[in-house]
Amino acid sequence: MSPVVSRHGAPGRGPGVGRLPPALVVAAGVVVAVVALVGLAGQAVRGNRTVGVQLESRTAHDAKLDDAFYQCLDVQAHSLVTPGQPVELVDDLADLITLLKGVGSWVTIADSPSTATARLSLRDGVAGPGACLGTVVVAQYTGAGGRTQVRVGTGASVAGHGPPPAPPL
Amino acid sequence: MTTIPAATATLAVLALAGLLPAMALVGLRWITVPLVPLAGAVVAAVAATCYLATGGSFMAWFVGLSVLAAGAVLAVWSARPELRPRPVPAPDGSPTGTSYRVAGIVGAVAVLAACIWCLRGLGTPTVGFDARAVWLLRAGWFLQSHHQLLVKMRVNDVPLIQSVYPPLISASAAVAASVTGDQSVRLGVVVVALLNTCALTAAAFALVEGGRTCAARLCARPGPAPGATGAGGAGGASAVSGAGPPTGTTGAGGAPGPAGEGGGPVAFAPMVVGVVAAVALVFVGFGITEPFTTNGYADPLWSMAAVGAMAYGLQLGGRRAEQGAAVIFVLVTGMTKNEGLATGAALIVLIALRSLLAIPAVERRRRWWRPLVLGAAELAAIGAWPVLMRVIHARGVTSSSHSPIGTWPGRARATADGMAPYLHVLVLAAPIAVVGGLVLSRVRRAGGVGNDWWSWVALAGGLTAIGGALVTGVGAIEPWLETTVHRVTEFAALAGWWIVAMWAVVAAGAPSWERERRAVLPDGTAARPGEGPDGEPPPAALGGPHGEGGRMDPGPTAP
Repeated sequence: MSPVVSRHGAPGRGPGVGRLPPALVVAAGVVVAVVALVGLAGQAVRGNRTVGVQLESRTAHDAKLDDAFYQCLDVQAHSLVTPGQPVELVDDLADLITLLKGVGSWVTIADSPSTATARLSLRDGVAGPGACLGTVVVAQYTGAGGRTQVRVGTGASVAGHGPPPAPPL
Repeated sequence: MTTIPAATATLAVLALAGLLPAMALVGLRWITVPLVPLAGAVVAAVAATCYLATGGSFMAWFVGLSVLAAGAVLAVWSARPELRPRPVPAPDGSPTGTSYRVAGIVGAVAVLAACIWCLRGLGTPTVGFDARAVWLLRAGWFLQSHHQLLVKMRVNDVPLIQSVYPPLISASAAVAASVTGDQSVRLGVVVVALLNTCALTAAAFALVEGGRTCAARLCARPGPAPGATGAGGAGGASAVSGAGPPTGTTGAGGAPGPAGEGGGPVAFAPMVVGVVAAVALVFVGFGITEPFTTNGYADPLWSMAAVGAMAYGLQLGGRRAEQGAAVIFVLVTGMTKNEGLATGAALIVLIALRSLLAIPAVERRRRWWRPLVLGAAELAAIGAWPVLMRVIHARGVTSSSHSPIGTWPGRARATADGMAPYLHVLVLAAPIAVVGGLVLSRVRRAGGVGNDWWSWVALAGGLTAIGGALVTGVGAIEPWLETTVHRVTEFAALAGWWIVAMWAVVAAGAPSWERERRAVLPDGTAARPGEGPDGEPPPAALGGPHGEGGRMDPGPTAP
């Protein structure tokens, strides 16, 4: 790091630099400017191509399918519980994260399992209509006397099977 | 309300919250425009922190803090009218003034056009994994009750340890949802993309500013000063506004000659290259950060903001407005993601150190505390959220555990191997910096650009912080790298390209520097452009760091 340059003739000028032939400074300047600009231009072209990939039909299809999948889970969950209703989310880790991505922003998590009015989970591998790419949201309610009632979410579906294409991480 | 009007309304609300603070920090400059929504996002992040800490409601905190900040700014302006942002003075009619302004306008329009073109990626409604699982998910939490927010931040049934990450993205998305009633992830993604673009715009525009300053200084021949008013002259006012040329030698009783007058087209080269490099940097920035710029991830924002902090805080001349821009940038950096927190802290230390070194020795004893207090305040601001996470025992707060020391060499190798493919710009930037440092350093100094070693240290600091976390962390290194390394190296890659671009601007001034080097002062002594007879920059050539114009403080040139 070169020494600090103060305003009023403070010592610390880099040694020898001022003695370089001016023509060399100009030539080096031109070379550096050209090399840097060529490098920037090349990378800018690459950057423009990278942005263009976002508009490819495959990317757009995957994005729309992903969005439809989580929108479907959201609608199904809304058909089972209200935003203020305390619930417990129970599932394996992968499905739990999927469920959170679909409903985690608005659902009310119960302080403890005992205060939950419903237990939400996903059921995979569901064939037929009414499923979101083969997945449905399931709510398990425990009524008076310990009786358990299970309901499946409704109101939306996305045809097909399997999870949506994984978005870039 | 469809997404575009909703996103516009959100940006307007964020801009309203950030308008007066940004104007107070930066003044009336081109870069104030993109910085205003970012300042509003900082207010939103602080509001989220206060809400989580004390309760109430998120939007009440947001509105309250916005009003409080605006009131504080107005109170300061009322008590000290000299601190009010001044209207842009009319060009003085010289070629310098006209070309300086034209370069600014052309640069702003070109950068804006490039950003709009690159935002076409938003045409595909992609939502990133983390955007849906963390950043935009948490926005909904901020709009729920305080009790529910605490539950979601703490309960272990929610397996999201990243919810302890800083809140700026989520808070901005929460503002969007609250203002528009649209809680869709699509709106959140668009708002985040626009904030990313604001950060990149301002960071890229630093090259336009650098080119303009460089051109004006390299052609600033001392001469008669018709109507010169000393340090309080119009030149100083121009400098603080940033819209007029830094007609620097008024303080010395001289006036710079107009760029291009007798200098030929080469006098304008730094300005032209600055505009070209800024536009290129926009494309480079989008290329490095896509698809994450337009799918709701947080990495592009902290990375671009960190580059902005580096540009304004460590590379440009150190005027008050540039320091103000750096303040906004470091706050955005530190309040966006943990990686940004570490990098932002390093940037704050470096900027404070540079400001300290830039104070003239005779005044250092009196003013040494100012950059330190500012740096401490910034550190406190970005450190509030992680401290709060520990206070509330949030899920995911990292413990002090680390991987066994014996594994560190292997993890370090894996980390270096993982990062290398994303840092190829360093192969270009390093030799350019070496040649520039050896041959063009006088041009750089005369042009008012800071030593790029500051940027290299910032770049290295950012890489060290991230690399250190990867090496010492407890997660399996290979999958960790596979899923993150391309994002956490965005800052380093962008910083490398910014350094390349900065040297292009400086190098473009070499012919002008040589031409003006032989200029002869009235007393017959030779002077280099932008320098006084003693070979140093003229007083007030850059304006002062704490208020130019009529209260010119001695300013740093380019440490």
